[in-house]
Amino acid sequence: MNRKILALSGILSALFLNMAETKPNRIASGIDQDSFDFLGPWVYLLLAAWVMVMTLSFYKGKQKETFTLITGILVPISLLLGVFYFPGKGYLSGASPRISLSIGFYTQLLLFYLLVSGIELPKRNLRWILPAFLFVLAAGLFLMAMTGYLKNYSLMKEYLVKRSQFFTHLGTHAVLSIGSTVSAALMAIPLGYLAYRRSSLEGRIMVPLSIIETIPSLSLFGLLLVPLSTLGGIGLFRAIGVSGIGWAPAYVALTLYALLPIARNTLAGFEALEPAVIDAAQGMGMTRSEILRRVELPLALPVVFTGIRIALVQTIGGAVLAGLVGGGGLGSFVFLGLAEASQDLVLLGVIPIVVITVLVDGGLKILEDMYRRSVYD
Amino acid sequence: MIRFEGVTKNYNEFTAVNDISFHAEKGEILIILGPSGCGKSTTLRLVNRMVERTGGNIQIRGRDIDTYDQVELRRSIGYVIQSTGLFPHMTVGKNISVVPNLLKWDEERIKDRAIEMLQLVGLDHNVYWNKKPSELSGGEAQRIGVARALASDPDILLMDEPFGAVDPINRLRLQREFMRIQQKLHKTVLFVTHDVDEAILLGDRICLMDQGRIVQIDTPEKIVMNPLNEFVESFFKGEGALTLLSRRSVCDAVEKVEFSGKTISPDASLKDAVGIMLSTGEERLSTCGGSISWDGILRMMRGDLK
Repeated sequence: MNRKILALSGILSALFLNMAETKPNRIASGIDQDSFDFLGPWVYLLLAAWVMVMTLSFYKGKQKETFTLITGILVPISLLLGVFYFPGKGYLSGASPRISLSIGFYTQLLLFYLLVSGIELPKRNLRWILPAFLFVLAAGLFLMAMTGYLKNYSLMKEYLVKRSQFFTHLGTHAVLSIGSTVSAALMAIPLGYLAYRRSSLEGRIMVPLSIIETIPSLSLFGLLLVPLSTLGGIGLFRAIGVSGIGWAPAYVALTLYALLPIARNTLAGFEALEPAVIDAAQGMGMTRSEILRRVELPLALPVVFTGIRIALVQTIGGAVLAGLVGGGGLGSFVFLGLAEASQDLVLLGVIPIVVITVLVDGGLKILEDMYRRSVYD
Repeated sequence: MIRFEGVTKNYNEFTAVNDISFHAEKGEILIILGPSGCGKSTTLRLVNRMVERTGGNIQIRGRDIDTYDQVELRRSIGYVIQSTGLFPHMTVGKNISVVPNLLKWDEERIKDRAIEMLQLVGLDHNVYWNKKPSELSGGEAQRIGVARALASDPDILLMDEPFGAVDPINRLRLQREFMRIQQKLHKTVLFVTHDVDEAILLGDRICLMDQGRIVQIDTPEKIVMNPLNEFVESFFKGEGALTLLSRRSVCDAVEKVEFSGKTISPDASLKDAVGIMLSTGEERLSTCGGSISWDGILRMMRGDLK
């Protein structure tokens, strides 16, 4: 995005948007705090950072990108300093006073994200700067949270109240996401391979999976309601808790949605194999299963792995919907928060999902690259 | 060693191979030559049943190929293709070891054999063993393709335009290396190509095909000098005769006449010699303990052809 526009937005939102709200209790609306109130003296650091970004955008030069990154980092730093500084101001009063972050704060974060995603560092060995900074930032926040510095923030208050539920829901969310992705992989990988081996079946396999993908989740839950509750009447299934609501429809729906990315990537991975390699393998006297095990599978695996990564990331987000049907998971907070009109409860569900998604996606990408390099180089 | 009797291959309406019969003797290189689409690759692939024939008989080693188990058949025949088909996820060492591995040789024997094969194709195993195919040049990759095909010591080798994807300089090098290897190993080779010079240089006999049929099978000398029809004649044109000269070393035409003028290396072919004579105007060159002359070469070639 055009950096001048970003910088200008940064300055304008810092000047005119409210950063936080001090509320006397959970439900009542509170007093808005603008950047000058919330950040105190650090607002000048924030403004200076955006002005610097704006100035740098006019220059051309080798170091421009690096300096822009370093200047950009000052934005979350000023926000962090404000987070630290503001509670000391003593604005809090009421039965259960709290500080709720609002649009100005989140806009600054968004603009920071847009800024750094558009920066291309000239030298490979400087690329550690951003991840290192984010890691330090996360560690710092974590320390602050542990030592109670964040206790006045509404998000923290929600967490503290719901702490045991949080970890239960987090666990359910993880089990649901990983479980459904694994189940989908067990079905979709063979299906993708089958579509590769018999092109006549390709349409008959991929088209239904594509259709499933287009079914809206609520409709899918509706469709699953009757079959699953019928199934839940049978002894074994009743014992493990299968019913029209709860974890079962969520698990089934998530598995169904994960089938397409995995099958499609499996098919693509096998189709990308060079025909000459398969021809040579056949001509040398490998049996069909030897060709699959020794040649096709190792070569197609990186692409299959990508499909699994995509499916997992998709499922982590999709598992929010389990909260709608009583299946647990972080979505429970989201829907509860929506029902109680509590923004912070919603965020208690959403923020962990975003963080986990970014970590899983980034981590798996690194593993993928390592594996791909070990195969071909 | 390899015998085709009345073999046909039809693809629905289209006849790729039409009632062909020939045999390849043990230890000979039989070139299958022809224009694109003449059925030469199909003919080759009928031998290891990569393509199943529609009619006729094919025998190898005196046995009908249908009496072999398909996989067992292929493991006993070396197979080299134009794009090498090296396995990109395996090192050079592992690539070469594939068939011995399938045959369940023991590890020591496999490793020794693979190193021997690398040496055979002129590559230093210390340098190449752990390389991956992505790190190889075209010529190196093709050498390793040949090494891989020879690893289990098959008596029959099927080669489908193996040097076609390599640049002309390296192609000549590879062809010469292959001749050297064949002199050592005496495999029975079916070699498909569309390159006339390659056919004349390498072949003990050439089988010329057109539109699924065999037009003529003969030694390079006979097929060039005594073409059966216009098609054969135009295929080899006039240059065929020149390329025949590349099959002979200068020492084959040496006369016991001392000459102290221009020399030529004893490793050169008669074609090289003629080229030098033409460009320098010399009619005699010193070599091989004597000398060769323009007249002498002409006489020798005509004498060959009687």
